[in-house]
Amino acid sequence: MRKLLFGTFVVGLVILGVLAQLGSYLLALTSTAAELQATVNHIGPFATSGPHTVGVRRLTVDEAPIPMTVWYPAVVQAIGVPSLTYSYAINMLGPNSSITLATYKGRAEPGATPDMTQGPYPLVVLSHGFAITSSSYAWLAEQLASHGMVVVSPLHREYLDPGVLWRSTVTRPKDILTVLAYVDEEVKSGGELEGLIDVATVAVVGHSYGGYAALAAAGARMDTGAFTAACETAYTSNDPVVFLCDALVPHLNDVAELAGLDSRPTELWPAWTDGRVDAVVSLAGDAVMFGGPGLAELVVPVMAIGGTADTDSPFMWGTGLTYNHASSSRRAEVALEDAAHLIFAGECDNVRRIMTLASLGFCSDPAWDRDRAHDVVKYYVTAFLRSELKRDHQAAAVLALDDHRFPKVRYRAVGY
Amino acid sequence: MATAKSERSDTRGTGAQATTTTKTRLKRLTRIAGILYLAIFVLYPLSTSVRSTLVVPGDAATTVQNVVANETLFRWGMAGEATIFLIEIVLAGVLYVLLRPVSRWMSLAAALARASEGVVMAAANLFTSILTLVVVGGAGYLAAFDTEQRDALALLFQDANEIVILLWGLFFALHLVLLGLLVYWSQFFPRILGILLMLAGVGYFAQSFGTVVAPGLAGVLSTGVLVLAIPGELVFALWLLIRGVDMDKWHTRALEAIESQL
Repeated sequence: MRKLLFGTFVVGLVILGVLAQLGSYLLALTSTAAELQATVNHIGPFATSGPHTVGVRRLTVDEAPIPMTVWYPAVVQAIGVPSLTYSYAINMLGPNSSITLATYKGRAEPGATPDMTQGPYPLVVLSHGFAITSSSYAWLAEQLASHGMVVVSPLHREYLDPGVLWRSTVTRPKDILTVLAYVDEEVKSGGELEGLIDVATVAVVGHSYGGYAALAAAGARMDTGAFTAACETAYTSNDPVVFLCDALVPHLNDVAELAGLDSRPTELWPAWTDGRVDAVVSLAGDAVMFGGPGLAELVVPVMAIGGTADTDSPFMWGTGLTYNHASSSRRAEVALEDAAHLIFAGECDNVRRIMTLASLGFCSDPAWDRDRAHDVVKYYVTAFLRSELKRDHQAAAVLALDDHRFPKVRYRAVGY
Repeated sequence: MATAKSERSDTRGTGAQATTTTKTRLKRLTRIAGILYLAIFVLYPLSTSVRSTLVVPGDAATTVQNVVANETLFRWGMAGEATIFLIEIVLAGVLYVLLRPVSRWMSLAAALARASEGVVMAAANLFTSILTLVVVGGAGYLAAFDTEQRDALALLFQDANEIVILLWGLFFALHLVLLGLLVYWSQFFPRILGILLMLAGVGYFAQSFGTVVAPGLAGVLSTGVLVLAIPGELVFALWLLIRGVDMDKWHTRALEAIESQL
């Protein structure tokens, strides 16, 4: 009996040890080919960095109402300043418990002095994807800051639990409004952002559920009737959007209560917008909860970009729906053919080793090279925001082109 | 005459009893060594996993955010590392006694190398983590640094920790090579165990020197050390636990060593 117990103990210890060693090995970060090949932007001026040097500051809850990261044009930094590393991370177990999936190089200088000589700059509020961190979108934020915009990305307090997604339906648009109110205060004399931001010129950009939040903050309104009808259609055809239906439809009363409404609206919900928003960009943004009537409330210029193979925010229920139903006189749609949902998230210079062995979808896409896709996104988003926020005619001309300059990209627009 | 015969009989009796006691103690010692080895085999990857999950190379802000949000986990990781240091010291002593009959000086050198590894681990790994905790702790005087500077400082200590691993790796590599030689020459362990341990030592040497000389190969070298070290150390630990040493041969080598005073 003692021998059996001892044997079991030893075998258990060995199995535990082997598993621990294996886990430790597989969870270590390792470089990928992407790190070795510097990204080369071949596709046009708006895909490359702009003329501004970029600074970055992270504001904690001690400094701002919600944690946020700010990218801004900065004075020329000292030569030889090492590049910054960003994490592409997901809050797995709690709002403060992020797991880094990959890391990538940035070029912003932490805490650099803002370049006030060419300010104030337009404001871009960047809303990250559900449970994904702000730094996962630094590749886009740095790009926009280098083109003379101040990008503020609030850290929405949530983690990867579809059971609480309904809360974000309310808290995310509110977070965006909180950022705008905070910036309003801080640009005043003596504030942290004094003179840096032109609070009258604002755009909202978001990915996935951040795309929903951006559309809501820009004027789109939820519509119970349209949403539930879309979900009924989705259930009969087993459409991937049923994931969102399952997460939200049973909680619509809770959403209404959290939003401070007396009861759940049967059709259009009240707007959670700020009148100063001048433009909106939705990257694989969810829009099914707005439906056609809710999106028709959107009148500011909109750009919707999505992957046609996206099963998390299916193209026809997000990007396509937005473009087809927004009332905006200027709107554009960019379809990345066969791209999946997370193509818009962080770059992947170094990844957890397990991700090189098994395709988990975080850093791999079935049809697209990640850097190439990011170049296309940078190109269109930069051109759109330069056109809308800075009245850049060259950028507007790019948006008016009805050409097929990029393989595997379908582009259409009206109003340019 | 009768008295002399009786004295010889007593001497034989005492000798036989001593051998039995020695065997029992030897068996216990090998088991202790095996269990300690296995404990390190389990604890080390668990402790380092905590660190590698929370610390993001190059990303100071995320690292600090992770450490602050998961301070208890970070401290458990430190506790795991501290336990390893203590086990290393005890294991160094146990292995010294087990292999002393082969070569006293070499066994002592191997034990000193292992003990040094433990001390360097304790002084550096644990210390860098304590400093990280101090920096993220929010003491008033740290207001002299702005947030970005504090974040950078916290990551600096964790980066230093990565270098320190290469330092104690040198001591550990030396220990494994010497241990491998002792096992190979011992006659009371299979020679293949000695070869496997020496290979493990070569792996650690390659990692420590190689990463310093060619940092670009760090990933390959860390994989290499895993492939080379795990079989040797795991098989040795299991052998100690399950088979132990060949008692008679150990005893013979012990007597030879006493005679030769080496």
